[in-house]
Amino acid sequence: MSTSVSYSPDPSAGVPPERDPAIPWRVARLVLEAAARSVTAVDDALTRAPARRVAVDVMIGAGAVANEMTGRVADRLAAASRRIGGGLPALPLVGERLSPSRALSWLAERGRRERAAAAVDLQRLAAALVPAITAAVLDRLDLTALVRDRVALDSLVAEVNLDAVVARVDIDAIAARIDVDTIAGRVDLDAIVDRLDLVALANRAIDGIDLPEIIRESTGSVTSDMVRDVRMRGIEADQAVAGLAARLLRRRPRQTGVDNAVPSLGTPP
Amino acid sequence: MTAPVSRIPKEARPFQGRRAGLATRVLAAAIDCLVLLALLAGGYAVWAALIFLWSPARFSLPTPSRPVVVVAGCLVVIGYLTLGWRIFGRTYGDQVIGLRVVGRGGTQLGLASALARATFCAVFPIGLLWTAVSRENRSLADLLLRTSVVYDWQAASEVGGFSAAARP
Repeated sequence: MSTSVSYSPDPSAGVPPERDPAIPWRVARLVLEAAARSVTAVDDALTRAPARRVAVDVMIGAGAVANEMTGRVADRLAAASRRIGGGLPALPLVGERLSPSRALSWLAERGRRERAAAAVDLQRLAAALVPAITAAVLDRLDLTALVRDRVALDSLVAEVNLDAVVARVDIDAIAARIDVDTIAGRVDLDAIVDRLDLVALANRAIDGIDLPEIIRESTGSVTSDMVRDVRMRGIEADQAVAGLAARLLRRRPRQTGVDNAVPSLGTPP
Repeated sequence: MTAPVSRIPKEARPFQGRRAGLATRVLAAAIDCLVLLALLAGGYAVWAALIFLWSPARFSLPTPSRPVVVVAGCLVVIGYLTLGWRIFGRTYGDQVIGLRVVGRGGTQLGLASALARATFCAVFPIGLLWTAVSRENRSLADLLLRTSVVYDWQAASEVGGFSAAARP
């Protein structure tokens, strides 16, 4: 056993090889280490200040020594009996080694090493157990149903910046992979055409492009243009005469087509 | 089915089926007068030609008396108007100007109505001027016989259109 008085709070620094301790003691220090870490985590969370572990180290060191001492009592008793039998040795050195401060430092150092060993054990145990436990837990859970029941997917999706996602998508590359000809070949054009009112569509197009005017311009003669002009001027003259008569007879000017409509002919086209 | 494509210009479509005013009707009547004068002149020429062929040696242009001319003229006018309104719904003057004479239900005139209207127009043509006074663009003949003269630019040869499609 080392008797160095230096103490380092880092348990993983410079861990010397050590004898394999007894299994009960390894379990005990494992529990102590786990408890110490739990207490430290809670303490850190509540106080936001690094906790000192010297007291824990002292406890573990004392436990380790006690563990060793139990196994060595018999040897020490035998050695003492031999010394007693051979004459008492010089006692002053014994008093120096067993001073309170030195004893505490020694115990703390021993405890630190024990904790380091316990941490290694804990890491090994976790490395072995965590994957197995995780796999077992996942096998027994329906994650899809769990997510569906427990997670507010709408809220998550609402927070997703879809514009940024779409901006990162290379739509041209996607479009280049689409076989438009194949898709078009699968389209049932007959069904689409059946659903269209082609006659109404054609009428709207004819109304929009004024087909009668085009026909008239393409087939009409100078005579028909002249006749059309005479007819339109005649209608304008009718309206002028009606307005003049209304003024002369001091009656309210009538609206076009209100009084002079033939009811039986209905609405003109 | 949809209505056939109308050849009527857009600017004239709102007036189709409305009663025509005085100006267009006078214009149509003027054209009809020219046609009637041509008919009378043609009839006189035919009459003179027949006389010449019958007796070339004693040929001279016929000189009918005024009553004969008046009666003949009235007969030609009445016959022309009656046949035009009864058969085509319009005279040549109406065709040029784009008018049509219709009866009470918007239908073509019967023979009696056409004859009565033609007789009234031949005897009292001045009654046409009442069109300017009437709120409904009706002449005296229209008021008496319940007829109307409407704008109708659709040619008689065209299938469908206003004349056929707009009637009940």
